[in-house]
Amino acid sequence: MSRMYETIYIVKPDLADEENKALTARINEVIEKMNGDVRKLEDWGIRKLAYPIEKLARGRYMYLRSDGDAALIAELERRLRLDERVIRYQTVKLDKDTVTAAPAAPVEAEETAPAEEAASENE
Amino acid sequence: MSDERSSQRPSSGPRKKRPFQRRKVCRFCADKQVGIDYKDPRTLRYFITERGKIVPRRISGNCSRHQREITEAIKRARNIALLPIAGSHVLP
Repeated sequence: MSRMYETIYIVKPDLADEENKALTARINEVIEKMNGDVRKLEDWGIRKLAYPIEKLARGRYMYLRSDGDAALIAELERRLRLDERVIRYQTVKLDKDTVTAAPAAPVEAEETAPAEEAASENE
Repeated sequence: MSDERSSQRPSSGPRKKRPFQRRKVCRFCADKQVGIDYKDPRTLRYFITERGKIVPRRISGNCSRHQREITEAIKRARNIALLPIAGSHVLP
């Protein structure tokens, strides 16, 4: 049975663009193999984390909206768990389709130092 | 003795007067446009304390349904580091 899911995963911020693309390609591969559907894949850019994960203060948020069955998510999460470039992931099952825009600017803007604002601007 | 106690009770009161009255209308019921989404930490920040705790319903004035949704959303947002788990964490 096909269900709607959205996955947010956070990759390391110092990752090169090619590496990120490679990771994206792998994810697409997995979803395709498991007869799933990628509805949307968004890059929310590098944002400040509310708390450090693996001693990293920031991370690149990736938003994936996909259709598939439970086995797809199980496999996808297994891959994300094994991948060292991914520091955090979360999948949520949706009741109804959502039109989500990326939450505009990083919310922690008021806390960030001026040097960090430059990083958030290139979103 | 017993008279004194009973007379004291109502004066101190089981319910203390709050310094100021919060509005007791659920803002999500009042405005149907406002959705609850775990990906939107800006709205959710309103419902957490400085220490990162979820504000109870008696303070925030949410109805039970929306408080439930808020709670769910805050917990999800914490998982993916959109909201702090406890106050503001400081990197060493």
